[in-house]
Amino acid sequence: MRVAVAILAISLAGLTAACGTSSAAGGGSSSSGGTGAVLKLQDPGNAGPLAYAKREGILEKRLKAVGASVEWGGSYASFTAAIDAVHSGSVNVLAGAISPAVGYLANSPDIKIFSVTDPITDPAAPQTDGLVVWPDSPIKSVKDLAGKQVAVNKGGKGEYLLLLALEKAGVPVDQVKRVYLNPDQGASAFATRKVDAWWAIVRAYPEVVAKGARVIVHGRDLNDQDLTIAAARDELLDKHPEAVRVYLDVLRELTEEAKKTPEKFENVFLDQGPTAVTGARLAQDIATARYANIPRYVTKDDGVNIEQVAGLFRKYGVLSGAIDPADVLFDLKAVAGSPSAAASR
Amino acid sequence: MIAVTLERVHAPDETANRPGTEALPGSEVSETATQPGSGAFPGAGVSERTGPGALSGLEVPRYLGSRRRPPLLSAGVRIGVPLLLLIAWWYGSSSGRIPPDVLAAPSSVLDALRELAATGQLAEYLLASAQRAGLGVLVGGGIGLLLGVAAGISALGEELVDPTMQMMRAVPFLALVPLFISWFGVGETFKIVLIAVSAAIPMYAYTYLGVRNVDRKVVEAARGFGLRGHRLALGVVIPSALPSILMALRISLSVSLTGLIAAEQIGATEGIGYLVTLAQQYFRIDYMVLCILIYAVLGLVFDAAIRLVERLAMPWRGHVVAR
Repeated sequence: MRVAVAILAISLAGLTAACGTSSAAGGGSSSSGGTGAVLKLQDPGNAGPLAYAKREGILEKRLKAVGASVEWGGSYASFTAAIDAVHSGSVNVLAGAISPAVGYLANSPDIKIFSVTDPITDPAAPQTDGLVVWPDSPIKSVKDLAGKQVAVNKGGKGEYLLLLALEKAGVPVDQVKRVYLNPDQGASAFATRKVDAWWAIVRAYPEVVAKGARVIVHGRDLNDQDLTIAAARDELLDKHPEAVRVYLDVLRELTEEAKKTPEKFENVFLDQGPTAVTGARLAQDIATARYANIPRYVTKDDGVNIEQVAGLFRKYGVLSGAIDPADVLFDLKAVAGSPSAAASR
Repeated sequence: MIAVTLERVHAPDETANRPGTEALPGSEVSETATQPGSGAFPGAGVSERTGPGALSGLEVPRYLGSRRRPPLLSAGVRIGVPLLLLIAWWYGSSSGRIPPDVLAAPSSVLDALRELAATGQLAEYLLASAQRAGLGVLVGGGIGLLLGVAAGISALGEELVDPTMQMMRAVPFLALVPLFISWFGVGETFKIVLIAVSAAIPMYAYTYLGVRNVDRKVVEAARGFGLRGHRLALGVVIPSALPSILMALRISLSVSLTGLIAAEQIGATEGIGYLVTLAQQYFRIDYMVLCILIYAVLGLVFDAAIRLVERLAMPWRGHVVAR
């Protein structure tokens, strides 16, 4: 009996504690009074302009000037991984690439792209992706992929670039088996030779090259129009474009700064642990940051890029619906051009 | 009736030689069993009374008692197999038989552990996960316990609760993730609810089973003393079903780890499930192996904790169980 009472007491105490923590940690549900905008961003990790901004409180300071605030949320591996959070409104501004964004927009047109980053063309810049095979592989060119299995991330940059490469080489797409794997799953499938080739992107690419993989083709060798983008939820863009503008301004300034002093933007929070980079990885990241392009406002001309990515996906059944670029681009410069115009809205 | 049973006890030849046939007929069984000295096994009583010489082919039963194995031997055997696995891992890695991208070497995993401890993340992550798992298991386990007791005690309760819980049991809780995200967002509530649901189902199933197996005679005796309702449940039914309930707690705790991995993949910035995601994201095999080791250690901790609770909450059990 006494035990039961004790259990009951403990569980009650636990429940009250639960309420306490969930309101403190969850915080996202309570918007700040409804007066100002709340930018809900995903965790920026341990490197890059946004991580630096989080540590220094730059966004908080700058957003305060326009009556807005920022809320840092959880961590997501990619745009695709963050989709559920964007749906539920737990994240309302995020970065990614056109390819996963069109996949999202085909199903739920509640975000718009307000910024793009032009592709890096400088041949001196380190490569950031590539179709890799093991050195002893019989695959010497894209043409040899016919009848092979290639790991790509579904509806993302990997799949886009593979389709683009196959089209350019004149290989019928249905002759190549696309195996859908996330970058981390692709790494182990490739390492254990369960797939013949793999389009390694972002962080996976330098890793696999360091392990001795041979590169067949890079995204830069193709007409890659899958630009890096930033997108925000419609309601935020419609009601508070000035807050989104501040976000983009800060991102632009810090990217500029990171080009000059990339070391400052690595290992921002921790220089130990799984997120910390050292040695060759650090050198690679610094070299990449030096060549980074600055994010810019979208213009009408960017519709071409969206059309090309969505068109390619549609042609090969990755996307079922069509995307009208006019519906998914948001001209932030025109809307939030002057602070007074934004304030009067 | 009593006269009849007493007669039977005093006619040992019959009872002892054909215990099965005699023990069967209906209500007499319980009365026979409650007679002092007759025991559950008629033979035991018989041999004491009449002596071993009187009957051929019978012997004094071995005293089972509570013999303890030598603690050192017991501990040695217990850690033997994990230790062998560790040695094989260490040998395989250091001799180069296991390539580092298949399984990180123990030394690099230790380094990862040291790093994580040095930055304070290990404690932070463990605490965050413990809080989520603890709350989830407390809430989910509590609900499962209540429903299990209700379904086990009363027919109405069973009719009301059991079909739904059996349906829930068939639903893999991971399938609920997208639904829960749209209901609860990606914050703490979502994580705790997911773990609670995952913990409630095994708790219900085992509690129900345990309560159904509570000795009817004990319950009847307690009712005879006037115990009703919650007093009956708390004083008699739950203590009798405690072995099953603690088993349920064991399983709920392990399942909550699965729930943690699923929950902390989404929108988390700390936790041991988040560490798995991080390790994958940053291609750190040493951290992946470290995560597995952390889970293994947690399994041991849970088991030890439940064993302790078993010993404290059920002191009588050592004299009842077969081993």
